[in-house]
Amino acid sequence: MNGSKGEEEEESVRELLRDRFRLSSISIARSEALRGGMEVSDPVLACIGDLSFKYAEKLAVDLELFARHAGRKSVNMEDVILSTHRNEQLSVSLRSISNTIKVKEPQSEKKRKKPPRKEDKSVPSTIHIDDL
Amino acid sequence: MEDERTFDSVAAGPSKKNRSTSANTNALKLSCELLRLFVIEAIQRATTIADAEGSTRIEATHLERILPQFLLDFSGSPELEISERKKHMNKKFILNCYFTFSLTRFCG
Repeated sequence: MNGSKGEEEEESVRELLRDRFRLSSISIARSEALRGGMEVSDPVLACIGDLSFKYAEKLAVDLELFARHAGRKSVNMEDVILSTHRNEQLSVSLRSISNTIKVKEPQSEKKRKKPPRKEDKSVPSTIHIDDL
Repeated sequence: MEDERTFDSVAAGPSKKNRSTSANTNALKLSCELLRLFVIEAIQRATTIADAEGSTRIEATHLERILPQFLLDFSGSPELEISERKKHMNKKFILNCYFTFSLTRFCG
């Protein structure tokens, strides 16, 4: 009995996610159309919302497969780029977007080596003293 | 898009052999961008068609015309191109594409 309750909950979570996802893609579609000076009819919005959700589901299945194939339990950016391998333009675009995302990463983990080097040009000895 | 975060683990639900797969933050951001590209590309292609007709409103017929090539570009083999000659097969083909697209959801 607990099993079926769990399934019901999962089902309602899934429906909630699906509806929120479709709403998000509809708002993206609307604003993009406005950018092009166009209005969008409701059936088109419904269709795009549905299609994008189905695409997302397929994407998720692929990503899980790739990560598992690599022996990982967590999907990373390379998996996402790999999922577009059939379309070269798309993978190129995604790769450049992934580089933008990497650049914007918070500095908490990676220490940037560049700033100390810039100071090197002017007063190298000061850096040495800092190290001591 | 917080829904993306939980979404990946829900979608991985059916194959729960071990624990569900998760996704790292950057992968989520990149997936969001990919999905955004999907929507934007569809709208942009449909806009081109609507524009050519002189319409200011994207209707179902505009979407219909771009759908087969668009779906192939995003999840199939982009080398496959729909020639103008074959466009009379459009409706049946589109229905097929849509159907295949939704079928793979259940089988994949």
